[in-house]
This record gives sequence, C-alpha cells and structure tokens, in this order.
Amino acid sequence: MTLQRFPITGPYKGIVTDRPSATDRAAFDDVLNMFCRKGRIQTRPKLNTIASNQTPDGTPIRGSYTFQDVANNYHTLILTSLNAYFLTNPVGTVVYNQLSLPGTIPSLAGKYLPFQIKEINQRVYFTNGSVPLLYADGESSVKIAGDVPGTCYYLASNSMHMIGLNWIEPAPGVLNSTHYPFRIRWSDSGDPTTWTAGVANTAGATDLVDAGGALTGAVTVGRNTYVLRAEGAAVMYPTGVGAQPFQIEPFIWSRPGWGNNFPYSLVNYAQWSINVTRAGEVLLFDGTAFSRLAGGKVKTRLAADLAKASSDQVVAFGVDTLGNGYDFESYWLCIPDANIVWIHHLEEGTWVRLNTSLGWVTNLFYGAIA
Amino acid sequence: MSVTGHNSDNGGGGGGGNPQPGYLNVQLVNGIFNFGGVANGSVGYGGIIFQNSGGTALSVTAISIDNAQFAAYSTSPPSVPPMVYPFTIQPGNNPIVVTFKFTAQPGGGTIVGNVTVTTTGAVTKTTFQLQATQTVLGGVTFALTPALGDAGQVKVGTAQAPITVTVENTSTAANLTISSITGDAVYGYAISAISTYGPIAPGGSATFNVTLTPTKLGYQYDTAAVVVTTNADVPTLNMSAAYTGNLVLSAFSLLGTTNAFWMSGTNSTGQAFVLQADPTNLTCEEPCQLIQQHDMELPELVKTLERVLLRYERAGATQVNLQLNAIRPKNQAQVVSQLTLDAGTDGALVQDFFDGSISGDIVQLKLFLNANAGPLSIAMIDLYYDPRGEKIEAT
Repeated sequence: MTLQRFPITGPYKGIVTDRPSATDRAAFDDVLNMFCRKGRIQTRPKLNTIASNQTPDGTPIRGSYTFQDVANNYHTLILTSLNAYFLTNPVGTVVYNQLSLPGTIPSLAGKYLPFQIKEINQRVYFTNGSVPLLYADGESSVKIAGDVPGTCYYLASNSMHMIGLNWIEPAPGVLNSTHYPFRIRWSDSGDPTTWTAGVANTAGATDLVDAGGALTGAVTVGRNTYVLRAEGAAVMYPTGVGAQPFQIEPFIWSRPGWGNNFPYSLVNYAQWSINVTRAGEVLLFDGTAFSRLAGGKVKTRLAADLAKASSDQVVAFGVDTLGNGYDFESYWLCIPDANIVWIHHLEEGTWVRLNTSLGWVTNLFYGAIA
Repeated sequence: MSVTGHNSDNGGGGGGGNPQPGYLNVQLVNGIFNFGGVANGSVGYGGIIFQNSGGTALSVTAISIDNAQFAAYSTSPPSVPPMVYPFTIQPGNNPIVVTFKFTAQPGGGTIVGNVTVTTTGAVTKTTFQLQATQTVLGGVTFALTPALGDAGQVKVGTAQAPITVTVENTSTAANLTISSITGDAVYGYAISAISTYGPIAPGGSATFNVTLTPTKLGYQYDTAAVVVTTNADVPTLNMSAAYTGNLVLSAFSLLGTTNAFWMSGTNSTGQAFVLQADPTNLTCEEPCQLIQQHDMELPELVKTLERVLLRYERAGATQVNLQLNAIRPKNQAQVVSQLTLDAGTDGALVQDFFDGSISGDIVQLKLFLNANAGPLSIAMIDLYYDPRGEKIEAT
C-alpha cells in the first residue's frame, strides 16, 4: 500500500516545554549541540581551541569586556581568577598582556567568583568581592576606584552612578574587614572614584535589611534599578535630587519565591533582565511584566541540572552573535558539574542544550580580538 | 672729493649751449664708504648720496656688488626697501640717498665689496668700494645639548623622566655666566638641578634637568620650552620641544574590527580551556543529537515507520546516524542505521533517506552525529509510514 507522509517542518520549537513531543511535531525531547534557527535544525558552530587552549596563569576566565578608552583606542579586558589582561593578537594567535595591579594588591585571587563588570565614562570597573573595586582605563595598569571603602560582589549603574551591592568593608585581608550583605552604595554621579558621601558629591549608601535574604545582584531596566535577593527584590529609582539621588522601595513580586537565587544567572540583555529562581524558573522582566521562559519539562530538567552545581557558580550570559553572519540572540545558562549550557533563543523562543567535553563554562565573550 | 663716472666716449661735463647729459656723482671720500665695526650676527646700514651733476635726468638701471655680505637696500625717497630699478636722479640739487646693508658673519677682519653702478647718460659705469669691520663682542658663545625633541604620546598630569641638558661654553677665551634658565610652565616644562650659574670657563659646561609634566591635550609644539639667558654675544637660546598630550596612555590597543565569540571554562581538575567559535564551520567537535517521539497524529493505532527522509542544505561531507525505538508498545528491537549525506557544499536543498521498519503507536526517532561528523542543516524531516490501523491494547 502507499506509505503516508508525516512531514516535520520548521520553525522548530527546540526542546519541548509543556506538550509531549509526540503531540507537537515541531518540538523535540532533546536537542544537544544543535540549534533551532531560522526554520532549520543545525549542528552548532565548531568551537576551536585557540593558542595553547589556556590562559597564561592557567586559571579560567571569569570576566571579559571590550571597550573604547578616552583616546579612542579599543581594548579587550580579560579577567582570570588571578590576573587582568588586555588582548592583542598578532595574526593567527592571541596574546594576553598582563596589566599591573595596584601595589597593595598582589593578585585578584580570593573568592574566585565571576567578575561583575560595568563601564562608566570610558572606564571599566570590575569586582568579585576579593580585592577593592578596580578599574581599567586603557592603560597598562588597573587602578583602585578612588576612595572606595572596600569591595562588593555585584555592580549596576543608573543615572551615571556606579552602584555596588553586598559589600565587604574594608576589603578582605584588611584589619576589621566586615561583610555587609545588605549594603548598597552608589558613587558620585559620573565619578565612580568618589564613594564617600559629602556635601560636594552625590555618593551615598544604605542597608536593605528587610526580608528576602542577602543582595544577589541588580539590574537596570528602563529608568529603575531592580535590586534582587535570593527571594524578593527592591526597586531603586533616581529622584533627580542630589542630596538623595535614589529612592528605594520594596518591589511587588507577582509570586512568592521569585528572586535571583543564582546570583550570576542575572543578565541585563537589551531592554530586559533575565534571571533564575530557586525552583529553576527562568524569568524575563521587561520593566512592566514577567515572562516565564522555561516551562514544563525544561523547567524540571533545568532544576535537576541546577541542583548538581556545587563546584562552581552557575553563570549566564546574553549572546548577540556567535561571529560575523551568525546572529543568535539568546540567553545562555551555564551549569557546572552538570556541565551543560541551556540556551534560550530569544527570538524563536526555543530551548536547546550545548556541552563541551572539556568541562563547564565560566565565561562567554563576544568582542574585539584584533 | 667725489666719485664720478667713467666713459671713454664722454670724458667730462658738457659745455656750450646744449643741455648737458646726466652725470652720476657719488659723494664719497676717496671712493670708499666704511660701515665701521659691526658685531657678529648683526647688520649695519649706511647711506650714500647719489647726485646728478649733469643737465638732464639720469637713470640708474642696476647696482651690483662683488661680495654678498653687502647689498643695496633702499633708496630715499622712497625709503622703503626693496630696491627698485631703474630709478631716476634729476639734475641739480635733487640727491637720492642709496642705503647699503652689511651683514656681519662670525669671525673678525675687514670686509670689502666693490660696487658697480650702471646708469644711462654720458657715463654708464661708476664704481666705488664698501668696507666694514666685523667685530666679536666679548667672544662669548654657548651651546645647549641635546635637543629636547618630541616626547611623543604622554599623559597629561604625569611627570615624564627628566632630560639632562648641558650648557657648554664654546668660547675660546671668555667665561660664560648664566643669568637665568626658565621652563615654559604653560606647557608643563620645569627646570631643576642647575649645576652652576658660572662663571664657566671656556670649554667647560653646566647641566640642568628639564621635566615635562604635560598640561595640554593633543599635539603641542613649543618654540620656547626652555629659555637660557647668559652673558654671551647672542645672550639667549631657546629650546623647542613637542608632545602629544592624552588623558590616558593607551596600551595594548586593538583595532576593534575583528571580533570573536569565546567560550572559556574549567573542569574538576582545574584545567582551564578557551574555545573560539567558527561561525562558518558547522562541523561540531562534540557529539550532537536530536530526539523526538511520534504517533503520526494517529493515537492508539499501530503504525509502521518505513522511511525517514531528510531534506537538508548541502554543506559538506556528513555522517548521520538514526536510531528508532518503539516506545509504545516496547516490543521490538531497536533499529539503527547510518546515512552518508551528499558531500557538496553549495547549500542547495537536497534529500536522502534512511530505510528501516519499526512498528508501534509511539516511535522514538533519534538522529545523532558523532564528534566532528560533519555539518548538518536540516530543513525538513519526512516520515513515511504505513497506517496499519490496528488498535493497540491498553498497556
């Protein structure tokens, strides 16, 4: 007898969320190292080892950023667990040029956490709670951010103020160093080297000692900065008044338990923020409403993978492109120990998975190397 | 006594009732004009009266001098240089003052220049002599070394390494005394460590340091970055210098035109890795898989899947594996087959298929590629099945 056809065509929906794949012909039970993109299912681009497949100090990259300094020169800052580098690349290779650290700081060692990086006024500020807040300005050395009283774990910016959260003052290793997990500090407007409040500047600080746990990150969406906890959030909005540049109020969450449980899952991408809750809920916030990106089976599998993470931090990144001609607007959630990257394509709304046999991912970077 | 022209045809002044031709009379004693002493590096001027002792106007068409240190400078009237030829001298008491210029060069001695004046009139050539004495004022000279030059890219507000400048007394007999050494603070030049103000003996030297702490952004050229004033014959020497001021001194810059996607990480042994994506190469270095379950939208009925057709973009040599499992009911062996796709690379949409029979209500389809198996870009998966129509018993 004549065989019947059952065509499976795009646009493909990636890994199934709620409906079983058997009832949704464009969805899959698993898509590993393949992308659903532009109506096709493709093997993902090859990831080649570069140079010695290593960083100069042998520690993983924990932060990276490309910026243009005040002399209009481009730099790519690479932060490993121990050192800061600017990249240069003679043809066919990559050179890590180590930047000198302030005299009182022998290395970036300490917490071995991902770095929070924020640019203001063509300077790139970075911290991971190990050493005082530092910045790179394009020179061969990095500097301490002025009178910063210590270090913090998370950074955001709003109205030209640098905002630091979850402070250690003074920085670890200094006598009387104390952890202030609820503390928010903001610098003088336009000058993240001035942190001490005074009549001539708009720097300030406050401690948010209400419910929801320690501060786990902040993100600016629109005009407001949302200060996140493991479970809960506050909203910080600019007042335009120099004496009190921000007003902070509790943020009304639509569901209890929604917070930023995995601090480095928080991504500020385009006009959105994306983060992951304790239950593995991936939340996209556009300034007015939340969307749940992972439902059904994906959420269940995500939660199972997140539960495995113990050796390192869960980190996430917003990705625009994987290179020239390969646009891929997506959220990459990298889970150690499960050694998997869950990728949500923001345009097509699909989930796929990616892995590498080399281990777990600590950093993604798209920027200038030449 | 005066100098008069000489012409073999007309030896002197005219007579009779006809107008006399023009006749140049240069008012000099013994036919010599002496500038006197002129110091090295200076210029001396002297005016000589030219008169027309003839009866008609005389035209001076040229004045030549056989020594370039002398030059005819101007006439009066008018008194503004340069010389303009020809100029006319009217007869009678209508003198023209011709100013000559002498430029003294280093060294002493008497300098002589022979002047020839070419005119119209009865006599066409008139000659006389210019003299000047070059004098050395105290004989004190000095030099500054090295030149400050261009400091290149510098950071505003950051002091540069000092440059030591030597003041050398280049005289042979006289002492040099420094009265002042100043740096141009507007551009950020400062003077320190002056070893001595003198007196400095001939051949001797003093030193001082010049430190640049740039004050201005952009390229800055300063003709008087340092000014040294002394008792020398030419008492002041300026040192010029340049720099390009920046707010930061950029290091390890990139063009910013070549971008890359990097993935980096580590593993349980602490071994870090850094990978770079090649967006033009879809040959994944890791195994890939695609898993789906199907009931062909005929729930509860047995179907026999006979063929899986892939419609794909031709992107290079690829080996794809297919594994079929009967999920409901679980009563059959797994079917595994392999397909080698068209190795062309033109991106054309082509198709190939797997054949393999498996029956059931729900069938699991697993497409997988081994590491580095090749690029795959699927546009459509087409399942061909036989809808047998047997109802599956509840399981």
